[in-house]
Order: sequence, then structure tokens, then C-alpha cells
Amino acid sequence: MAPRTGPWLVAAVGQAVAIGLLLLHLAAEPGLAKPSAGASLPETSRVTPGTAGTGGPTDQTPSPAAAAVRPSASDGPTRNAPATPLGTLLHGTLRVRNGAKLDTAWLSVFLGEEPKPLLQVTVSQQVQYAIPGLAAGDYRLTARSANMRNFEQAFVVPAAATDVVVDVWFEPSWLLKVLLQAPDGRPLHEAIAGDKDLQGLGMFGPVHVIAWGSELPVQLPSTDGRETTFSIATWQASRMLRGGAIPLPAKYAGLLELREDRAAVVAAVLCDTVLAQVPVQPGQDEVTLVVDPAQLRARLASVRLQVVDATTNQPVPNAKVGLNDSQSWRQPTAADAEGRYEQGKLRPGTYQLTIDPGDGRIAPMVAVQLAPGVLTDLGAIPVAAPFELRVKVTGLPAEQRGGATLTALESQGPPSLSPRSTRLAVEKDELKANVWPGRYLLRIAAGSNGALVEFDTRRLGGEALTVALQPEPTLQIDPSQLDEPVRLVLRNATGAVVHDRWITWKTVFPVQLPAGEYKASLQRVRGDRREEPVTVAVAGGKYVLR
Amino acid sequence: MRVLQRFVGVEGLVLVVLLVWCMERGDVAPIAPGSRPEAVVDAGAAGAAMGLIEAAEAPTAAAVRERVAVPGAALAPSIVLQGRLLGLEPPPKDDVVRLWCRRDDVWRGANTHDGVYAIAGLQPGTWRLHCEVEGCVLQEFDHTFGGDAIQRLDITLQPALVLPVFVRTPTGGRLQAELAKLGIWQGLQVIATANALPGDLDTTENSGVGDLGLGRHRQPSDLNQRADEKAGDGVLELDRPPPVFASLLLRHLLLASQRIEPGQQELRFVVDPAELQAKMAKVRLRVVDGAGQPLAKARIELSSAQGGGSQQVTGDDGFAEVANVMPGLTYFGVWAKDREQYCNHVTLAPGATTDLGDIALSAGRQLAGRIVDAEGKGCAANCQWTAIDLWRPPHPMQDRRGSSADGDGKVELFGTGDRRYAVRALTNDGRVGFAIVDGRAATPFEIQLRAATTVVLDVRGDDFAAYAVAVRNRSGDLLDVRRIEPRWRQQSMALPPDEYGLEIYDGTGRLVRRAPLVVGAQKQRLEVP
Repeated sequence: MAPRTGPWLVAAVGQAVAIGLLLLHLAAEPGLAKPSAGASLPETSRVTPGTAGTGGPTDQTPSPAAAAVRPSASDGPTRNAPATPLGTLLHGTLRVRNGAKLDTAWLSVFLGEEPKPLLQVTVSQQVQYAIPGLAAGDYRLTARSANMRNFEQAFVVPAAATDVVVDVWFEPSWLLKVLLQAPDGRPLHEAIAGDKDLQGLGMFGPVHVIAWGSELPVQLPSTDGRETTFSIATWQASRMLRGGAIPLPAKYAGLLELREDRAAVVAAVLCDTVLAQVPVQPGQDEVTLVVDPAQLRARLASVRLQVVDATTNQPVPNAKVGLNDSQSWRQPTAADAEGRYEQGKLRPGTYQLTIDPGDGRIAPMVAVQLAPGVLTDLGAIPVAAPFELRVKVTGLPAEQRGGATLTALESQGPPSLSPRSTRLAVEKDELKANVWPGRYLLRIAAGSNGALVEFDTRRLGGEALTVALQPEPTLQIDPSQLDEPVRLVLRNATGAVVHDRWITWKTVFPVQLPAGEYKASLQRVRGDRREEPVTVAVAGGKYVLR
Repeated sequence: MRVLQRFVGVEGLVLVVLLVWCMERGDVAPIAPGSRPEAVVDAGAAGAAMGLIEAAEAPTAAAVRERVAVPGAALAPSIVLQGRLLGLEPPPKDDVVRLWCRRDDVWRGANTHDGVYAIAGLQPGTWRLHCEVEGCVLQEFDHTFGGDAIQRLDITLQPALVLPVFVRTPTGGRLQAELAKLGIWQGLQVIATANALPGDLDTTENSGVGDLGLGRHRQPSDLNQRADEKAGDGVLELDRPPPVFASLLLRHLLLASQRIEPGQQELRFVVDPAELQAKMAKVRLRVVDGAGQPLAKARIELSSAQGGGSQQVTGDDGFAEVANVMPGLTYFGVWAKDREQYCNHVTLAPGATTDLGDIALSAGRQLAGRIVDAEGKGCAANCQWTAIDLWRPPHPMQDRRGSSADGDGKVELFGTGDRRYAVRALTNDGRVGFAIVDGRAATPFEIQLRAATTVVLDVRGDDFAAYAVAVRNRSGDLLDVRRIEPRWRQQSMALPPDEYGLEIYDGTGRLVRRAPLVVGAQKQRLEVP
């Protein structure tokens, strides 16, 4: 039986039309001519739990290829007018490896090695994020969330990709429940409930909890903040957690979030004084620290001073005296008719001392260290007419507000006092401040411009100081190779301190500085100080801490 | 014949090769079941339907392209909406764009970058899209999403008519600077409407009524600028060309109005400060203890929900008179040593003296309780309490004092006295519970938390009307109140499934509707009034 021609003819024509349409479609795609590198990645190459760079600062090894990309459709075939290209959409999900629910996450996108993020977004109460309009290039995505380890992932946006998928997988931190107990076994907050001396100290009680990689000295390096920053963990007092996502029975004082799964020492501290410390092992669920309320009371500090006129040395009556850390402010207390001021029941630590006689005179810009359990007598604190500092600032980038830090470079009073810094604002290209006569280091930064100037008010006369802001490089400081925290002090060629901080983390951070030669001093909590030169090139650079 | 068969066979092979090629290219993969070609819709089209944008200015309204589901969509079955903000060159800066999608109590904000935006976490269905860009016409419209994982919607921005605003005194001074001298830093605001306002608006618990009508009054956020004698008073952005009516308000009070004519370059109001000061309220009261004896040095606060306001201390006779109080719905608090903390609201008539009579503060009572979960185990929660016998419609409940239950569920209320309180406990994971606590009994209370159901309150009708929606328990005790003011026409309540009584009051406190409310496990919507 001879086959019929009709159906074969219809099939031939139909297939020919289909082939023609497919060829037309493929020819219209730019990806046909020049497929992008990313386009060749299989769609299943999206970030998975096994490949994500999670697990804390130590094990973050960004993998540039661990993202799913799609070639662009924006230039592809359209039945009508083509839509304007959108750039590449970065999107993905936010999840926790153990299935826990996320509340809020903060995401930052960095272009290449740029220290400042290109974009920062907050994602709240949802598991998906989307960041639009990226151009082709190499990027990093970082993400952080409460009680989660920081996430970082490098990814590539190929030319002509419509979207890139990077899923964020958070690794829960090691959360250690902390019991603060009095020697009689009662929770410390109950044991000190009726003690008025201890009630008003600290935002969440007088005792703070920290962690360190090894045994701590009784006296920690001094900090001028509300609490010591000398910790490799984050303390969340139970009062902060009430109503929150983590249920914590009332017997616990709080949660300590540790960033690494390794043996550590957990300590209860009163500001910079260690009260008790115990070792903990990775995976440990809770720890008990015993603190004697009597020991707490015995370590409270006191201070005494007398306000006098710098010229006549005569007492200045009723001046208002303020003692604050750098993060708090409380109402100043008036000195008596003889200028005498005494204050007890203070947490030991570093305080900023301010004195206002009410007649325009000022005191030196100083900080005072109050030792635990000791009455510190500061003696006579002089007040004098201020020097009216006027600084004309040029080179402020458009729509940028300048911020300044003024640091006293010489002791401005009795030896018990140390010079300190203060922050100032640049208003309309000008900075004004009433200061104690002396030598200062002025640091002004606005965007990527900045200046570092040393001056002596005694040589300025009535003239305004002119400071020209210049573009400044960024020094990327990489502490990832440190095995324990260090104090990093950077000094410029004249010996002035331009950066001084205990580095307790392991992620790279930027410091903007004028190009030039610096001397770095690295000091561990126990051990010698090591010094080495650091050159900040005009193009910036990287300084790896070892 | 054999030639034709061979030709069809070769064609088939070619077809298979081409299809495989297409599949490998990914971007032209076969349409996934349930997905469909996605139209690139331009907001111009949607805007034109709202009478906001000329249809001719919607350049890409008909553009259509094909795409497929994003890899891994099964892992995250939600939608990303992205698009370009067209119509401005250069594109608007990221920080002047306020763009979001909202559906009931779910809100999804946009991230923007160089004139492109993206919103994640959307679901198929109709959402309300809000696009507000400084200097541009506000666009609000419904948009319906299909099932595709990534969808595009370009929005064409249209410049608003921006008029500098000057509110001056007859002598040429700045009215806001005069108000600052009285301690009033907020409350002066201009709104634009299609018709002249017939009079004052419904009262607001806030310092101002917010953006209403056909435009937005943008004022510098720096409060120090408000004391500057020479500064301007911001700008009014109009969503449609004049003629429109501009009204100068102090909170809800209409101070002046004028018609903005086509071609007008600025908006200038002249108000006599004396006339304005005459609208300020005066409050008189005496603070006494439970036995009627005067309480000296009791501290009185009268303020809006944003705080600030007026403070005063009672004299030895317990009397206090507070002058220059902003009129309208006012938070009213009284504190005295060892006494209950009196918290209430009052509505103060403009230009009048309101005599509140004797405010009796009972001795303070320590009220303690326990918050438990469904199994009776204590758990942490946030608590708020309101003295329900003091509440009057259309006032809000107290939201200024709260306490937290510790990890064992123990909670102590502060400032309480010999009154009945509605105590509400809420957790971050969406559980809620209520208790009516009698301060005179001072026995420990317990609140059991249950999963809350969202009740969405949706206002229909008059754009400028305010409402208060009250919910009572089976015994008729007040549990919760939501005020719905003109700025936000939708609010929601979190209630455990149960039977309740619902009362809806208008802006004057008149009951307009009373009905039973049965709350089940499913989210429900209520139209107001």
C-alpha cells in the first residue's frame, strides 16, 4: 500500500515553520553571539548550604562561582518596543541552617575590593531579598543577623545577566546561657535587688559578661565606653531578650553569643575589672559565674577634686562637674562653695571629666581613670578663659557633612588626668570650639576626603586655622590571621596616634588615612609590644595583622 | 514519496537539535506549567487609569517579553517585582524614593539603586503599590501579580507642581518661629484638597494629620530650623495641577485656606499670632489623693502621641493651670510620689478652658502576674495596660507604658492603683492574651497566650473621617482600641479566636455601629464604619 502524500506534506511544512521560528528566536538573542561566562553556569550552581561562606570570620572563604546567573533577557526579543535594561537583579533567600526563623537581616553589597558598600539593605520578617540594578563585575555580599554568624559570599555579575541568585545561609552562633549567682546560690539580680548602691549602675545591671580566648588578667585594658569592648563575644542581658525570639528562663542573667566554636574563657566584669572567670568548651549550653555582692560593693570607685581658677588658684564655687563615659550622659553635680566635689559609688573605669563654672571658663579636655575600690583625689582642677578655635574647612565634597575629632596632645593639668578626644561637627565649612590652650591633633573627614592637622593654639593668635581636605586612600586592615585579639596603634610620622583600638574580630575593616608612613604597634593582652612600619600609598593598601 | 519522508525525518532531527540548544540557553526554556508570558506593564498605564498620567506618556505600556521561572523558585515560592523609575533624568536618588507594596497587614518595601527598584517577598494576587518620590506625583494603585518568580513593572514618574510655602505673620515674621517661642515645634501643616475644607478636621492623636489629599507638605526635619525667623516653611507638592485648595492646619484645626490658581509660583499664608494663640487651650485641674486631700508637686503632662507638649506642677493646694496647650486629642498624665500614675486622654476645645475637676490619685498598688503559654508554662512577653474605666471614645488606649515578663513569665505592672485595667500581653512570635485586672483586689493575675488572628480594619467612604474601633470581651470589658485616622485607612488588630463585641465610633466619639465579632483562625477583614 502506497503511503499517502498529504500528511507527510503537512508535517514537512509544519516542521519547517517551527525550525524557522526557532532560528529567528535564537538569532535575535545576543547571548547567541557572545555567551557570557556566567551564562554557562548550570542553574543548579546556586549557593547551597555546603558551599556558602558561613561559619564565622575564620572559615569565610568566598567562592566567586557559587551563584546562579541568567543571561540577559532585557535585550532579547520583544513583541513590541524593547524595555529599558534594568541591570542585573541580585536576589535569593535568607535562611538559617537549623531552620530557625530570622527576624531582621542586614545585607551589604560591595563592588570588588571596595571597602565601602555599594548598597545596604535591611530585610525584615521575610525570607527573600532583592537588590536591583547591578552592573557587570565582581562583588561581595555580606549579611548579618542577631545571634547568627556573619555571612559573606563573593559573586560575579556577568555582562548581560538578568539576575544572579545568591542564597544567604546563616549559621547560628554558639549561644551560651549565663547564670550569674551570688555565693548563696541565688541569682545575682535577686541578691542585689535591695542594694541601692548597685541598682543604678549600668544599663542592664552592674555586671557585664565577656569572653576571651585565654585566661584574663584581673584588670583589663582601659576603655572609655559604657562597657568594656574587650570581648570576643556579644552579651545580651536577659532584660534585652524579654518578649524576644529566644526564650530564656528567669534564672539566667543573659546569653553570650560567641562567634567561634572554640574553647574560651567567660568572665563577669565590672567595667574593666574581672570579677570571676571560668573556661567553657564548644557546644556547652550554660555556664555559672559566682559574684559576691560584697565584692562588687568593695570595688566601687570614688573621686574627689577641687575646682580652682587657673590664674589665681582660688576656689571656684558651685561649678557643675560631670563624669561620663563616652556613651552616656548624666546630669552634672554642683561643687560646693569651696569648689570641692566628691562622688562615690561609681563603677571603676575611664570617665570624661567636664567642668562648667557657668561663666564661660572651661577646664582642660581630660579623662580620668578611677581605680576599683579606691578614692581617687584629682587635686585642683583649673578653669580658665577658653581659646576660641575657628577652623575654616575647604574641600568638603558636595552634600557631604564633615565630622571632626579633636585630640589633646599634651597633658593639660595634674598628672592624674590624661588628655582625651572630643567629637565636633563641621557646619557650613566652618568648625568652632572653645578649647583649653595647648597642642591638638585635628582629624576631619568628609566622605573620601580628609585631613590630619597638628596645631598649637598658642601659635594661632586670632587667626582661623585653614584646613584643606584632600582625597585620602583607605588602608584595609585584615585581622583574619590573628589567633588572638591585639591592640593596634597607628602613629603618624610625628608620633601622633591616628588609630588606637583593640581588634577583637576577624573581618577586614577600612581605615581612611592620609597617604604616608606610619608606625604600627601591636600588643596582645599578655605579651610584648611589637612595632612595624606601615606605608599607606596614595592608592591605598592592605595591612595584614599577624 | 520516500524523499518527502526522509525530508520530514531530517527536519525532525534539526528541530530536536534546535530545541535542545534552546533548553541549554536557559533563557528561552520551555514555559513552565502554570507560567505564562509576562507583560512588562508600565505604571503610566495604571496611572492613566487613575487620571494621574497622560496615556500618551506611557512609552513601554505595551512591551511584552518572555521569561521563565527563576532557578530555585520552588525553594522560595514568592515573587520579586522590579522595574525602572522612568521620567526623571537623572533618576531619583535612592533616599528620596519611598516605594512599597502592601496587602492587608503585609508590607514589602523596595530597594532602589540608580533608578531601578526591586521588591521581594510578594505573593500572587492583588497588592496596593505606593510610589512616592520627592518632587513627583504620588502614585498609588492596585497591581495584580501572576505566578512568575520575577516580574517587571516600570513606573513613569511625573514631576509634581512644587510650591514654596511661607506662613507669615501680618508684620512679615515667621509664624512657626512665633510658635516655637510658645514651645510648639510641630503641628503646623498645609494640605491640598479638591474642594475647600468646610471646617476643622476630626481630631488627631498625633502632632499633625499627616499627608492627606492631593499633595504633601515637605518641611525640613531639623527642628532647629523651625525657630529660624527667616526660613521658609517647606514646599507643597501637588499631585494635580491647580486649581486646588490649600488649607493651613494646626493639628486638626483649620487656620486659613486659599485657592491655588494655575501659574501660581508660591503659597503664602498670613496668620496673626494673636489669633492663633487665642485657639490655644487652657487646662485647669486639682490633683487630690483618695481621701480628697490636695497633692502638691504632682507633675502634669499634656502632649500629643509624639510627646513634648506642656508640663506643669501642682501647687500646695493641688491646683494647676496649664496654658498654651495645643487643642485637640491630648494625652494626659499625672504623676505624684507614691501614687498611681494617672494616664488618660482628653479632647481639648480650641480657645477654651477645660476644667478637669479633681483628679484623684489612689495609692500606688503593685500588680504582679504571670504570662503563660497554652500549656501553662511561663514565658517572656511584652505587656501594656490601660485603666479601662477612664477610657472614653474616640480616644486611643494607653500605649506609653509597658513592661516585660521575664523568662518565667513573671511581670510587674508599674504606676497602677485602685482601678480596673485591661492588660495585654504580646510575644514577638505573634501570640497574644488579655486579662482584666482589678487593682483593688491586687491578686496576682495570669494571662494565657494564644496564637493571634489578624483582624484587618478597612475604612471606606469619607477620606477625612477618623474612627475608633473598640473590642470588648464577652463580659463587655474593653480589651483593645484602634484609632483609624485619615492618613492610614487600614489598621489591624491581633485577637485570639473567640467571640467579642465590636463598637465603631466616629471622630467625635459618637457610636456608629455595634456588632458581635467572631474571630476564628483565619485572617478576617472588617469594613469601617
